[in-house]
Amino acid sequence: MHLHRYEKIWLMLGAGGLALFIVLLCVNAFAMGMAPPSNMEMIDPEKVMETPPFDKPGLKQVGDKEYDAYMTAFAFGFSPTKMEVPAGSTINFHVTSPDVVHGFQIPETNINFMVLPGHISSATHTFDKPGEYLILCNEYCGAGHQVMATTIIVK
Amino acid sequence: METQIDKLEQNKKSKEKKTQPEKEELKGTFAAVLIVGGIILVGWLGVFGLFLERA
Repeated sequence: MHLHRYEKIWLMLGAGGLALFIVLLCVNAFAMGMAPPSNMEMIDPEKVMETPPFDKPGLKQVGDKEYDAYMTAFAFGFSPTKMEVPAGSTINFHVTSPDVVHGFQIPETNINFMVLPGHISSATHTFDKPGEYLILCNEYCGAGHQVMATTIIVK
Repeated sequence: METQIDKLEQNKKSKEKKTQPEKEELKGTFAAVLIVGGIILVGWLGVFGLFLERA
């Protein structure tokens, strides 16, 4: 098959770009440990309210300025409703749903994942700047979807 | 006398002459491909910058 010289160049650029992105993806996944927020943790969605630690949602200090936040996203709100941490804190979010699919997004950060019933979604963020951070549901979940939000106060 | 096979062969030859890939001018196409590639690259870098800034 005959190929024009220019065709060869742009095919090489395209294939090279594809190879570069695959390499970057592998570096991100294996060297930097970046994983999707839906890890392999499972939970019975009908028993979320009785299963620890989701029976008492809240913050647990696990280290110097490091917290585990066990949260539930339900129609139509988040639990706990209020959280406070000092500036510079790292929070590991662990979120599950007892009913339908919800969203979990904190604008201005990279936290943005789906909350699926039966799964525990996890993500980590370090809050360096003091202020009030909004947590909102960005996955349409029913008639009260628009009021589904809560805040984290960073002092 | 020309047979039908001869006619068919003549047709074939004239068609081949019309689509000679070497003679196609691809400079404009090449520029367009590079522009599209550039837009994709700039877009990717922008999104990656946003990701790093928010981390």
